[in-house]
Amino acid sequence: MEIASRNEGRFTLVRMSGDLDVSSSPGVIGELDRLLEDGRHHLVLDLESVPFIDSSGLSALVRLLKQVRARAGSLRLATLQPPVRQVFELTRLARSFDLYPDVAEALRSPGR
Amino acid sequence: MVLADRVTALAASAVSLTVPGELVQVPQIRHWLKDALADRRLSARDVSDLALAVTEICANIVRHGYRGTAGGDIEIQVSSEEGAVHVTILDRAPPFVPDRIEAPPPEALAEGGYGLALAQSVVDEIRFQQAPGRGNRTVLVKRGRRYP
Repeated sequence: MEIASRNEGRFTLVRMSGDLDVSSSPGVIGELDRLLEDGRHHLVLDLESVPFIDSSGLSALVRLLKQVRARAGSLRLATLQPPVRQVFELTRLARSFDLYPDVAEALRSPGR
Repeated sequence: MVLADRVTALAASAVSLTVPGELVQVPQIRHWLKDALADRRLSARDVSDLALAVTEICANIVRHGYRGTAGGDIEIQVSSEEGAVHVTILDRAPPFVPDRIEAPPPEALAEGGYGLALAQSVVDEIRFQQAPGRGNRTVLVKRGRRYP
């Protein structure tokens, strides 16, 4: 799993590449924790290059969601591939996250 | 096709993989599985579903069965039987049969507990068995309209 981030206005855009699974999620949690510690509390995760997510990856994102909410921040997920979206729908967590069809809309939407 | 030929054909379609029961092996299992599922008349969605289910079962074995200790193996067997694909996962962890499989309610925002429910939701059957002298046997069955 590769992670690259850059600032886009008030958001930090995080591009992730690779499977988000039981093997990669600990490293992902560490990277995302570092962003939060740097005061970047409004995150857009671009998941276009994430073809697979399992329950460990999902749990990592739930953890992140709770962390940003605790800091009055926001978390937006963009460009979910069908297998990834399916996991959110099967667990009914799609309703708990802000999901966007693409990064541009995630960045410009006023949000919920 | 006479019976002997059919048995040979079925045997030829069965493949297996044995790896150490470690989390770092789980992605390798998934990638091997995708290759093993090629040419079995499965849709991309079916392959993706089985990859998810096998990932969840294997991660569960390592984390909760072997509890991160070294020494236990995981064996994955893939076969085609009567228009369905069977994936059998064998381990030597302590006996495991879940009482019930239920995902946490979404509003709880639980940071875990989704794995078995996800696995169950993407296959047609999931069976948790104890194999005599061989520990646990988890069987995943995937079938669909695309089969003759």
